[in-house]
Amino acid sequence: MTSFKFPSFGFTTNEISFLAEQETITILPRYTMNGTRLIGAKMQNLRAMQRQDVPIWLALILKSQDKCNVVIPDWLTVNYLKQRYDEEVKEPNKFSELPWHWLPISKILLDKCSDDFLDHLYEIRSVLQDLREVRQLKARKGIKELNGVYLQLDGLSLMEINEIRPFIIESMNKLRLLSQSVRTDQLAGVGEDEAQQSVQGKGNAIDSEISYDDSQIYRTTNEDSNSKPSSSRFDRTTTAGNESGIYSSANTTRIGATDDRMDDADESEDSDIEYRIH
Amino acid sequence: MDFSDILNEFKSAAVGPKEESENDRDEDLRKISEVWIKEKSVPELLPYENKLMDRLLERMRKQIEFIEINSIELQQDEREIKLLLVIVENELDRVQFLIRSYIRTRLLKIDKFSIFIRSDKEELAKLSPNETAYMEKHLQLLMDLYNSQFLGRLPENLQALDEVAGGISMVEKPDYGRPIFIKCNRDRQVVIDDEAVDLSRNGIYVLRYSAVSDLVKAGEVMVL
Repeated sequence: MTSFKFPSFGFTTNEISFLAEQETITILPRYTMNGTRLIGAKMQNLRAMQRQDVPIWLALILKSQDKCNVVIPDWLTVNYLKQRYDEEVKEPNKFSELPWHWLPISKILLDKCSDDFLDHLYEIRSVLQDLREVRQLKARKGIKELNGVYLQLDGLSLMEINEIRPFIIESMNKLRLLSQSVRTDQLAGVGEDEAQQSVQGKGNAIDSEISYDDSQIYRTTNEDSNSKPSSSRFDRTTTAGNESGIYSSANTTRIGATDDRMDDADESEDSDIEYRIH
Repeated sequence: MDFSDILNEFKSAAVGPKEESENDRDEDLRKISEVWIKEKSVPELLPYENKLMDRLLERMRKQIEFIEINSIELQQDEREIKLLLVIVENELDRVQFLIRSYIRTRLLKIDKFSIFIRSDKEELAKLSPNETAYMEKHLQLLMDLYNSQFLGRLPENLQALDEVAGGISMVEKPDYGRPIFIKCNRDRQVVIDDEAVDLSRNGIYVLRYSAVSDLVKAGEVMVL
């Protein structure tokens, strides 16, 4: 059994931002200027003071040359975000509706177009941060539901998905392999001892990026198969407290680590726009 | 649909997609992003997007031409064209990045599964001619290296690289059971481990690739 790992598996923060930059945004050109043919849709002629929808990357180029003002989208206002935050608090089991790329877009706009905001920047930043934290907390709680079959994550944005992706994929894969091996052993009618061994063997063979507390998992596995050898503990959507307990306690540390890395990446991240314009 | 519509349709089919509308162009760009995401997230190799790539490469060539022609005329101090050039170059870079990353991802998979791909006609059909040539050459080099370095000195019955006997296959295959993230366009149902799972519209799910691979290939669910 080989673990399947491409060096390029998953997306980097920069790649997600790259995708976000393809979204459109409304700008208010300061000068009249001709458009040009592009590989994608043509860049329209710009007329001074007439609103125009353009991709964000294009808006950023124009902005950096002081050729336009960016119209801050409706959702990036203190008022709107506060409402979403209240929703998040009120409904602990649901994510509020936010744009698919709200994190990278808000970051880009705060960095590059800070003079276009009508609200105070510090207010926007703080409510964005609140929103992010409350959603992150929920996403982590949701990991309790993790099982080998499927998981539903409605309402998360792409960036948020990307943050938990490596963890979720690896652990679901592992749970699936475990449940599979339990199942085949049951089918083959292997004796209890052997079944136990093979579960352990599997566990060892799987080299994981994710550092659970190994001993803990093996212990519970053993107890489990000792007490009720035929139980399909890995099979179902289990929400029983003691089981998810193991995972969630190990998770917190793991996700915490990812976060640190993400933050670093955020800081060192340069927009690829910038080096072009001199 | 009236008669002129039919005529138009016939005409456009006869002339071919020479003059693409802005919509098509926009759509192509959206599509290449999607294709790139798909290729990166899915465990197996997907069919090469032949037509899409041809269109994009052709347009990229035109853009490069545009840049070259216009940068010669730059001496005449035209400020506006300078900014336009920056924009064109920037977009070109962005598309180039997507295409490069797409191809690299494919090459990674091809390297990893070359023996498996060679053994299967259906898999082989997913490669572009260039990719096939690359795979053959790469594999040949690799074999030569292995043989001269150590395989040649092993007993003959241990030399094979594609042995499947003994219950364990040496040939590396994509792990179809690996979970992927998807978003559904509409309500549907998939079966996982003999258990029906309802997927609702706009829901985001993580589930094993084998359960949705047909939907992914048909473009009916969005891979994240």
